[in-house]
Amino acid sequence: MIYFNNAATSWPKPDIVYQAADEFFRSSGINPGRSGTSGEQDAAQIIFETREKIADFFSISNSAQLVFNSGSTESLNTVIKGVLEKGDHVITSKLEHNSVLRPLERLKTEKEITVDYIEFNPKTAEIEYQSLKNAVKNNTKLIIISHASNVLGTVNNLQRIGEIAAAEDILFLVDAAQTAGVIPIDVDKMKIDFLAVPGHKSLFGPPGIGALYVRDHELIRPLKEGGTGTNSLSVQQPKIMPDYLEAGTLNTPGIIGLGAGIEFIQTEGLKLIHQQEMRLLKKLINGLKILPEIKIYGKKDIDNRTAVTAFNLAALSSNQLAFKLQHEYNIQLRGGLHCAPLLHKFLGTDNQGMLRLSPGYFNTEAEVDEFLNILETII
Amino acid sequence: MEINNEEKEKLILFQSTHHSIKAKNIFSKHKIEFRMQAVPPVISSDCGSAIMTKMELDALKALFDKNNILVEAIYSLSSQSEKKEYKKIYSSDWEVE
Repeated sequence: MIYFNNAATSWPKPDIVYQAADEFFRSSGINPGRSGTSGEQDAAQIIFETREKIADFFSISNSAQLVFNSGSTESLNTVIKGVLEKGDHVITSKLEHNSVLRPLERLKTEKEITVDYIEFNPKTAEIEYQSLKNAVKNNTKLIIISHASNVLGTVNNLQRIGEIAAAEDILFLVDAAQTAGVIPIDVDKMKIDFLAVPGHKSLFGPPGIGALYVRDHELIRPLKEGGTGTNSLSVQQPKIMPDYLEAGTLNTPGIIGLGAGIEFIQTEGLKLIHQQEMRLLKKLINGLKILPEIKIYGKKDIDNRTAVTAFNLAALSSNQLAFKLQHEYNIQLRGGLHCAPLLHKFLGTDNQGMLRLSPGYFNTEAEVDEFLNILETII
Repeated sequence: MEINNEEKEKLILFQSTHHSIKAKNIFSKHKIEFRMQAVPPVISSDCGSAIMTKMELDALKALFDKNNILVEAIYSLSSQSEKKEYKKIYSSDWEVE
């Protein structure tokens, strides 16, 4: 199998991710998590260490402000539903994923919020920064921007947006679904108030684990309340971080796997991983460019982007072509729509969809060649 | 870090497991003598652990402040005729008031 669907979930994972999660999962039964007395193998101790490791990775000075959850979707929902009040205005973009759009659309009805969807520049595929600035109103509470598009792979300039937000006293939520692990993120430098981090993509963790950074938890209501293992006599959710936003039993094997994924990135080097992915992407794009009847969307260079490209073959249904490649050639890529409806409408691909290729660190140049050869035979 | 052995033992309760583990790690890093123990039932029936140390109160508070560690309360411990007595010498509520 050739797996080119890493933008959805990275696969395979580094060996240490499987090993760490397996070893912990097998032994955690004898190491109850909340006693704090059973030494290095104690679950709570390992969770603490992983939290510190991830906080450090994103230059978060106080790791208590980083909470574990099921992934970016939960993080984005937590912030959108926990921060916005009746009548608030939100600025976001047409690049966003449904995990941003759908909660916002719900609140448009339920809380009468208003939303401006900023367009992106067709050449650079980055959002129109000036339009974002012009969209600011007196009641703008939140700016939500994905660090990179999950379809076009282009990276937005977070520092530039963060400065606009900070100057206007607007909260800044970043969806790092496509960049956490391959593009450096510094929450202070980029003036990020909330950072949604998926565990199962470029951080190499298992599915079902993610994290949310919250600069000031007093600005947010929890999405869920429940047991925290502390302050149990009180029927109120403790206001102490990380417990405040971390009700219920944590996904400890997921957390351990995520920690191992980050360790892998630190050992290999984030820059080197990104360069390897870009090498593969460049080869893919160059190969696609010379094939007849292929239309590539977004930029064709590899500057300032993640390892994602999208294309169509003539007017062929992207879903049918993806199905054929999957079932006849065992090539895993994604067709159809990519949970980014406004982007598809903007590019006029809402009927045809697109084929998305997202090579990962463990793909090889030989696999790229094999894929291009197969595609050529189909054409 | 120096500890005055004349100091009374102090029992520290934390507001969250995260903060108790952070404190434990910092104590170990600074080679401060301490031991983990269960929260005594006379203080609370809550689950979780507490730290016992002889470190002086102001130094403790400064160390916790510097490292963003949230403490619930600190008790000084005295043993009189085989019975342990805990006296609250710091509470996070006092800071708020």
